[in-house]
Amino acid sequence: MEVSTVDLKRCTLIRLGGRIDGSFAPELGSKFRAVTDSGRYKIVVNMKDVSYASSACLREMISVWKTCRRWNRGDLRLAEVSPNIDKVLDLTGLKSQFMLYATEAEAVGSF
Amino acid sequence: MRLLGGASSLSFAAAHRCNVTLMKRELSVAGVKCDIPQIEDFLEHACKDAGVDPSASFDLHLALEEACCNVIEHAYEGQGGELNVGFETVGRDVILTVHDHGHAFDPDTIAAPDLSVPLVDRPIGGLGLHIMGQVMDDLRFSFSDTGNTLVMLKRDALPASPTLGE
Repeated sequence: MEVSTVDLKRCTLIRLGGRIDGSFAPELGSKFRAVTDSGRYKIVVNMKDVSYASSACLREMISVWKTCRRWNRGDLRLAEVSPNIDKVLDLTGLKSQFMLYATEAEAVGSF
Repeated sequence: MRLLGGASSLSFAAAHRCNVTLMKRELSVAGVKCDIPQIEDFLEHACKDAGVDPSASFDLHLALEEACCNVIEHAYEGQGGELNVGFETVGRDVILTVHDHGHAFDPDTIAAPDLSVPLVDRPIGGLGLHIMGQVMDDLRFSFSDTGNTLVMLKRDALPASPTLGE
C-alpha cells in the first residue's frame, strides 16, 4: 500500500495506491487519524491507483468519514474510483453514501 | 458434522454438473494478520494457473480475505492458530475452503447490515460476511470436532472451453 498526504488550501489530499487489505488497513487508519488529529476534517482520497480494497479498508474509511462529518465540520470524499473499487462500494451500500468524483480536481474543488 | 447457518438449504451444483476436479491446491498458515499477503499470493497464483476470469478472480480475493480475516480476528481472537486454505476447480467452478480450529462460528448470529440505514447511523463493521454472500454463489459453514470449515462456491469462474470442431 502506498500513501501520500498533501495539505492543500481547501482540504487534505490523500493519494492511495496498491492493495489495501486487512494487513494494511491499520496503517491506513493511522494515516487518516494523523490528519484528523491535526484538526483537518476536509479530506479527499484519490483512489486511482488502488487495485483492491477489502472491508477492512472500508471500515477505516467509514470511521474517518464519521469523524470528519461530526458537527458538520468536514467530509471525506473520493476521487477516481476504479470499476473494481466502485463495485465494492456498491456491494456494501457505500456508493450512495460517499461523495464520489471523476477527477481529483473536482473532488478538491467541491470543498 | 453439524451444518450451521441454514447450510442444509444450500446446494453445490458443481458437484453435480461436472464431477471433475481439474486443479487443487492447499495452503496452511499461522492464522495471523501478516499472513494475508501470503494468502492473497496463493490465490493469485492459483487463479492465474487455472485461467480464472479476472472479474471472478477479484470476487474470489474479496471473499477469501473476508473469510480469513474473520478467522484471524474472531475464531482466533488475534492470537493465531492453524488456518488452512484450499483452492479447487471443478468443471468451470471454483471452490474455496477455509478451515480453522478456533471458536465455533454460527453465521446466523451475525445480523446482515441494513444498507438502507444512513451511514452515519450504521455500525462501522459487519460488512465482511455480507461481501462474501454477495460475490460467491454458495456459502456453507460447518463446525465439528476438528473446527470450523467454510466452503465457498463461485460458478463459471473459468471461461467456457471452445467447442470441439470449431
